[in-house]
Amino acid sequence: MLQTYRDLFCEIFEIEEDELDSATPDTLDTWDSLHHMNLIAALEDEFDIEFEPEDVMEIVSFQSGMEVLKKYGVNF
Amino acid sequence: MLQGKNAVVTGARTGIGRATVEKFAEFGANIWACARQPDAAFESDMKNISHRYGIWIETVFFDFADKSQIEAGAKEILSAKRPVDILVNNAAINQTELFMKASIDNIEHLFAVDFFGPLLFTQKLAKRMMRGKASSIVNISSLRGLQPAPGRLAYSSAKSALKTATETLALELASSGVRVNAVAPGQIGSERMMEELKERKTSINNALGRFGTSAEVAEVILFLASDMSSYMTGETIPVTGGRGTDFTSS
Repeated sequence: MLQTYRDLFCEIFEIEEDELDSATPDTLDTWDSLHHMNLIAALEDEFDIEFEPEDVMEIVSFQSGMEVLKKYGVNF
Repeated sequence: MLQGKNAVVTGARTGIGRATVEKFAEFGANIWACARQPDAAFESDMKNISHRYGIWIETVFFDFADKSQIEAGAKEILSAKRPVDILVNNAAINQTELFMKASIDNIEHLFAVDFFGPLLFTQKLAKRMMRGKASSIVNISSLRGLQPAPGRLAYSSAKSALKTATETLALELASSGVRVNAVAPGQIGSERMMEELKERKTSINNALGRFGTSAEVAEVILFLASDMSSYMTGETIPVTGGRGTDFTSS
């Protein structure tokens, strides 16, 4: 699961794995609103979940995304 | 042209939807053929097309008037864990009511089927499509959406809304490699339309002087679904035999 999550992040934001831990909208030029929604769509599709709107806004870094996913039963 | 692609076509039982299924199959696409209710004739028809062209067709049944059914239909498609490369939102209903006598309930029902249903279905499937490299959504609008007529407030408004949604979705999904376009058919001789137009003694006054066929619309849908239209998104192509159509009774 963790590798799938890492791969999705890299794919959506076009970054390398070593950039993941510091990935936020402030550190990545590619993390704009459209790419944020791309990430949400990809996570929902991959993990077969539906985020509540407030959780969509909670995903503001690689780490916070993991925390939100855990709420939906995704185990890393 | 569509070899190895997977397509979803709604309203696949008859008319433009049925013609699109056959056209896509002819060009190598696998298809989820969606219709409102199961029946043996439809299953048999889809099976024949599948055998004729050597592709798979899976039938999916749900009613566009029912959100929970739409969600279930989308889930059935997504559960296959296959890429969804093409979506054709064709299913629709039609109605003719002069505004002063129109039932708001009927207008709401038409909007549920012709506008909100396709939006919800698209929202569900786009998740998968956004993960592909080059996906295409084709919405079936109508000449009525470009050129309203008396008695067609609900239908014209819903189809116009679908055209605007097409333009907006094109902007939102472009960065994910999803193109979104529409076709706006005019007087097409699907069985339902032919009956309707005959009852209303409708004249044929487009430039070509005849009804179009569902197959002729399907050719344009094929173009928009394929990479041949790779530099097009947010566009609505009229397929009208030269506009000028007048759906009012003579």
